[in-house]
Amino acid sequence: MTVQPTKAPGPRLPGFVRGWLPLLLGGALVGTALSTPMVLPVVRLALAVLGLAFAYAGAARLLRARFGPDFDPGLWLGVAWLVLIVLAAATADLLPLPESLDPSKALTEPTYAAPSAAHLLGTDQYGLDILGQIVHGARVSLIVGLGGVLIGGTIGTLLGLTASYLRGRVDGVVGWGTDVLLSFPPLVLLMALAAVLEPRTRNICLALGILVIPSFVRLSRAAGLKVAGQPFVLMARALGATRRRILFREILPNILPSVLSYALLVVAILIVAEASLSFLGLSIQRPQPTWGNMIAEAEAKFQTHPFLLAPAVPLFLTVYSINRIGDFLRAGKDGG
Amino acid sequence: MSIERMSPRVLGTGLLAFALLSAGCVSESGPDGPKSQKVASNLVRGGDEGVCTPDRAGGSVTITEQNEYATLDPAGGSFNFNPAQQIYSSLMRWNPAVSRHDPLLAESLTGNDDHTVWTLKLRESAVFGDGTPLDAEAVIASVERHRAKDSLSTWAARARSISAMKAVDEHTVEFTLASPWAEFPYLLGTGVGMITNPKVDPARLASKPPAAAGAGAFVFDHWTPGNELVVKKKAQWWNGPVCLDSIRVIAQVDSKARKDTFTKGEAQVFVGTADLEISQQVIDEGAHHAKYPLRLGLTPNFGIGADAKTTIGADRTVRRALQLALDPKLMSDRITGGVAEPTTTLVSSDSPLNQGLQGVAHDPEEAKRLVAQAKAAGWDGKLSVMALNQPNNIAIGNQAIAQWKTVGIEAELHTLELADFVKASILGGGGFDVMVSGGGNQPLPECTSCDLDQYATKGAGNRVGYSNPKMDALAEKLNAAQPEQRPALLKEVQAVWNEDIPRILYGQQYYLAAWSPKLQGAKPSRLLTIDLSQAWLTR
Amino acid sequence: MTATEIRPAGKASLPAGRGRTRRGGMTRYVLARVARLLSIIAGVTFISFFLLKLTPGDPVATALGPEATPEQVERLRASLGLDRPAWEQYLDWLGGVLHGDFGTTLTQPSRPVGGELAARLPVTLQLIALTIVLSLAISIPLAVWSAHRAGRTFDRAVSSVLYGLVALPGFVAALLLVLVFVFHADAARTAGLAVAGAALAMTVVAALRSRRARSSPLPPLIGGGAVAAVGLAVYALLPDFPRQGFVPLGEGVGANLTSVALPVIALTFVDIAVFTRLLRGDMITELAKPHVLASRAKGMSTAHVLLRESLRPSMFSLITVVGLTIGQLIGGTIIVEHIFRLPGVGSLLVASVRNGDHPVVQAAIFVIATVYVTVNSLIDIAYAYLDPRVRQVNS
Repeated sequence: MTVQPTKAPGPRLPGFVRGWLPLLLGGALVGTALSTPMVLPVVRLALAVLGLAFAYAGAARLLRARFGPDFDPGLWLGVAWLVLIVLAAATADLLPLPESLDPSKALTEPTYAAPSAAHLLGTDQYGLDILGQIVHGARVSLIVGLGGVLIGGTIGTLLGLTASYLRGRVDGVVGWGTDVLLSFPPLVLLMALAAVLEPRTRNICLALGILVIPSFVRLSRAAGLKVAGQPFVLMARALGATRRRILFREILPNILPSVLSYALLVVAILIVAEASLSFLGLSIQRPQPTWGNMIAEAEAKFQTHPFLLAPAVPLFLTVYSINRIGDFLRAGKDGG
Repeated sequence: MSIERMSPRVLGTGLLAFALLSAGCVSESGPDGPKSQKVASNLVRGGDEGVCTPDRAGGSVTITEQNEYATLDPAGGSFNFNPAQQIYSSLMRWNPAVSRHDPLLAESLTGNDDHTVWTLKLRESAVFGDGTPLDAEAVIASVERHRAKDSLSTWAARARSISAMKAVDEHTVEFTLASPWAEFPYLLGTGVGMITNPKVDPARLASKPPAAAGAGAFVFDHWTPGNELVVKKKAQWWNGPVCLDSIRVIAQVDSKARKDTFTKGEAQVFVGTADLEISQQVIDEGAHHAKYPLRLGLTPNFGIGADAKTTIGADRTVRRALQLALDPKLMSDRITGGVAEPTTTLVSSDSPLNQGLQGVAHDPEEAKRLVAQAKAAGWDGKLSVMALNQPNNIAIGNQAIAQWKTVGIEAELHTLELADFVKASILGGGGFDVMVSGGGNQPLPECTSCDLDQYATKGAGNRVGYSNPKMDALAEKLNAAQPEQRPALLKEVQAVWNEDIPRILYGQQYYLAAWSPKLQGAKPSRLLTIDLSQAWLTR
Repeated sequence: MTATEIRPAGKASLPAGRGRTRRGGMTRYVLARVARLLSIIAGVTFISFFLLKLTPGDPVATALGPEATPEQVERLRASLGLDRPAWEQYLDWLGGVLHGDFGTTLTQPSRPVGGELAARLPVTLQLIALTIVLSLAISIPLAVWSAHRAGRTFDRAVSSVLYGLVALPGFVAALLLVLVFVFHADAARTAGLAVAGAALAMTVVAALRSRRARSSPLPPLIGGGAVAAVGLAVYALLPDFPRQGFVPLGEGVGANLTSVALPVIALTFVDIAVFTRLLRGDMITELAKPHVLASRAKGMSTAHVLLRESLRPSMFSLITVVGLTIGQLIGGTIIVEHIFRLPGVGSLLVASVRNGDHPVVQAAIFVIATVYVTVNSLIDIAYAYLDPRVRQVNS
């Protein structure tokens, strides 16, 4: 049902109206959704989603009018969001947020407070500020996502690379180990690790890192095989370069772009995985906030206190943004 | 602007938003929080509608519980009360509405003047599923299984207080006790009173009791652990018609999910334990119910098993500091949504047993002083708190830790899965100083003397290693006490308690067994157990 | 847990295939795959044994419950044979498995592990089958039309929604579904009506506009009509979904389907996104190929070009990914089984890990790994059968 400007004869609404109208309408809908307590929460939710969709469509049209038709607003919104959340997580301790970490300092705060000037997103059962917890939780989510990928990615890539270059028995063993790890139900692996290790950020990173090793092995092995047959590698070999030099100077730089753009997607997967673990009570425990354990805690109360579910929004946005950017990077690489 | 010129998308959205708004405005009850700090009043609502008659027959009932237990054998340890009650019934029944033990399978139970000899009369018509009479021999054989040396029974210690059993005639049993116990009828209302057919191999009782096993109105049908346990009605029951075709028992750990199931009508009986706010919501929404008083608190570890010499819980100065630092009002507000009565007395203020009990008042300044004193004596100010990995327990632990922090105690919370938690709380070795929850904290109106089993040196329920000769003496007295003497004795217990802090208290609330008003004739019985033998569903 | 969250990342993105014989032909290839399959399963059981030995947990304590005494615990432990050395218990277990006997559960009441798994496997398999079928039913039309309209509004809208689906964690999706369809089914029905009304209004306006523009009013009529029909169907036919529980197929197909509908929908979210994006990409590549352009130029119908010439060849990699997804779902339905209280393998696994019931965990891991490896091997073998190059070319 696209309306093609060229096909439409007669007077049309001016472009800026076609952009601003949905934007304003969307804003109005979101505002209504947030400020009408007498309407069912479900409907408020539906309204908010609808409003956001419209605001997005309007903004996209305005931005495309300004920056040209190739402009991808979703991508830039994603980048902006990631920058914002990374900055917020990095500077969480410096931000002027109400107490959001130590329940002993929130003993006089109201619990389950509705949003107000003092607590922009309200408070939880400990009287801790939800916005502040989201910001501090971002730190955990990002550290777990990045840390897990760093651990799994490094080990996996090195293994895959080595296997692809050495072939033979090494390749067989690595391939077998990868398949064994892949055949293991991931949650059992995590639960078993969670039972052995204390659920702290470091250990969650480690557990999730182990989990993603096989996929990095497969990716880097496949990419490494491709590169290993290239003329410049064969030449380096013929010139008598050491094995290490060929691996790290010739092959690794060539497969790094695809490993990195894949790693970005894995970060998103691990952020969701950490949240899911929290939901099952297997990750970092309250009161240290993570998005997952905040949502899990909200589960019983969100029908009366919908703002407790607020951490679901940054979780959604972050995963959305990372996916969007990761796909863009991958598409760019494949195309170029 | 003509309608054709409007963007169809804008128009569509406008209409959609309008429609959604109007759909949503239907109505919603205001989100008023549940409010009740009454514990002993309105203990029971419903259940007195009468009994099943043949014209009321039909329908099935689902019971949703928090946990699934390991066995259907009443003498087998952690067993499934609710299905077992339907299969075996019990000699006596605790009636929470009138706070009295009434005969259920039995005809009567009477004690002598000093409560050392109890005479049980059985009903002549009572038979097991295969027609075997439920006679004196069957009772003795069945109770013997709880007393036996290798018994796994939850009530083994109390059952061993029976020193002799004698079949006076076919329908009369005489129990002789080692020492006076005025509340002996309680024992025959527990699993000990669930009489099993001596002709049935006890090994079969655990997971597949045959139809012959019990004298209750229902027979075991199937049990798929992790899914459901179903009992079906007996075609011919000695005690009258049975209305319900079958009863299904399921387990949902999550309180909210359990309430959802009940609210949605997928279960007709709701068993609420951990989350008190949810329990109160169920009551507020009009469910029929029975409440079972619950003493809220945290348990210090006095040293069990491998923890024997390492725990801080054994230090009375620290214990007092922990109690004084805890604000019951704050705990009640934040843990139970203000539903619990904030108090540090042994029973609630409206309990008939409470005749002027005084608890320990909240006093952070004194707590700070005690902490300083303990630190001067060599304590490092650190504390390890253990909680079951379950949201409500974690919240309790965190709130207490937050308040302890304000008086200078650095406590850390460790969450354990059920298996580890039970292991650490039975066998020690968890290395913890204070434990959140941990069972055995009901004031048990059906057995006031049993309450002190958790604190008497050799008490069956004493698993944290608490020992205090004064408490032991009081437990002895309470066993022999007449009902009218108990409030005064409880005052003495409270005095010792306030001095020694066997448990860190902050409130009084209740566990809840609730059922739909459509389910009539349900008989609430002892702790979270409901007898549905003569219940029926209205249409 | 929707599989996908904890599914090892990227398994789907790489075609399987390794360890091939050089020229052995089909038989040798299959034999090699089977040998490898067995060795992987053996590796998995071995690792799971050591992993479980590391975990604390005491089934005896769970069996007796919080009111047990230490003496009772010791007695039961001895009677279960848990006081013997670990390796002895393991060898017993392994010997049993070779005879098809998985032992008995440690959690009381003790029962055969094999029977326990057999009772739960069908539930999980049904979830997986329905998830795959529903995901494909939704994603194939979406992908085809998106590829056809690549870069246009429809395509952009679909891909935005897909990104959203991927970003929605499975447990949040499940909770939202419960909130909407279980507790506000009436609001959902009304919303369905509202959507239908709005779609109809949009259709009429769009059709009028396209008539003025002298273009065919058919596309808006079909699109709008479809949306309106879905909305009306929601309004008129939305069943009453239970909050929890599983109704076996034997107790009525309708009741069975409503009991698994919400879990399946929650599971499909990520799969729809994965399938659609994959198929759309492949089809865009295919649509740009010379023979497709040629038949377009010859004036073949859009349907013919889309379905015959580009969908068919694009299905190849989709089938691979579907196979991998099946393998991953077998251990990945845990969260929905947990939220909806479905008696599947996933919930059995979680409960057994928590209870320290090692025989059950070992057997469940064994079964899950077997299904996973078998499905993957079958795909590899099918690939090799369909495309002989796979057998010969060494990656």
